[in-house]
Amino acid sequence: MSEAFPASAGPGRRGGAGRILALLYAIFALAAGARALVQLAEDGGRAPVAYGLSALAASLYLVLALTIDSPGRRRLAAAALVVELAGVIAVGALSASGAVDFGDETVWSDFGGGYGWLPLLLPVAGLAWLHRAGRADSP
Amino acid sequence: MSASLLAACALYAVFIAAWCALRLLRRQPPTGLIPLAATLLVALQVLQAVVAAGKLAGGERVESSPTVSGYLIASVALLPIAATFAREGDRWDSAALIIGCAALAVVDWRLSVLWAAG
Repeated sequence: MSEAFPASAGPGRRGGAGRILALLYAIFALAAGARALVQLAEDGGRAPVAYGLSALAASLYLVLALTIDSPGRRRLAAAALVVELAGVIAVGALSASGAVDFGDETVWSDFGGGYGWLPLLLPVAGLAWLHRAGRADSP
Repeated sequence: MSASLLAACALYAVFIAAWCALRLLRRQPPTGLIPLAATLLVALQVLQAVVAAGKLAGGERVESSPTVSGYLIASVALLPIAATFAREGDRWDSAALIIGCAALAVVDWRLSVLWAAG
């Protein structure tokens, strides 16, 4: 894991790990966005909350794909990461405990287990990356 | 025909991912024959998607044709998207292609499940 965030990434260099996170977020934006579109088109009324959450997740992922590797947009990226982390924890806990029935699966159900738990791991990795990149910029 | 083509695409994607992993372990970019191999994979996926679209248009039954269509679009678009993150000439290019190929293999596997479920 330390290898993924090389300490050698200096101020001027756009670190590689950020590029990898941006690609992962682009793929997740595609996956969650397509899922939301298909679900809303097929039967939007069946589980509007679940499909709305998929659409929210897709927009957050799109924002992160565009901001996480841009030094000037770290604040926006950090905000999106915090919302994403809160979302995946809240939806994961509410769906796992059975407290709320969302009507259908979302990207964040079961803490993102349907997507290899990447929806839970990515915001943690993203925040760690931003922290590291921010420190590299202001030594 | 289509099922074996899908399986071939998925296996080929895993092969290229492994190839890029060797490069990543040596901290090298995916140079040499890898771009050519990846382009061939995209061509295979396009062929696969055209065959599948023909089956859908021909009235072959699937549970959700919008879902299958979405996965077909993803199967063609994934590697070109990953390639735009692999243009810097460093080892992270290899990582980007590994992610693209792995995601592509998952999409191909999901497609085969959707077709089998009919």
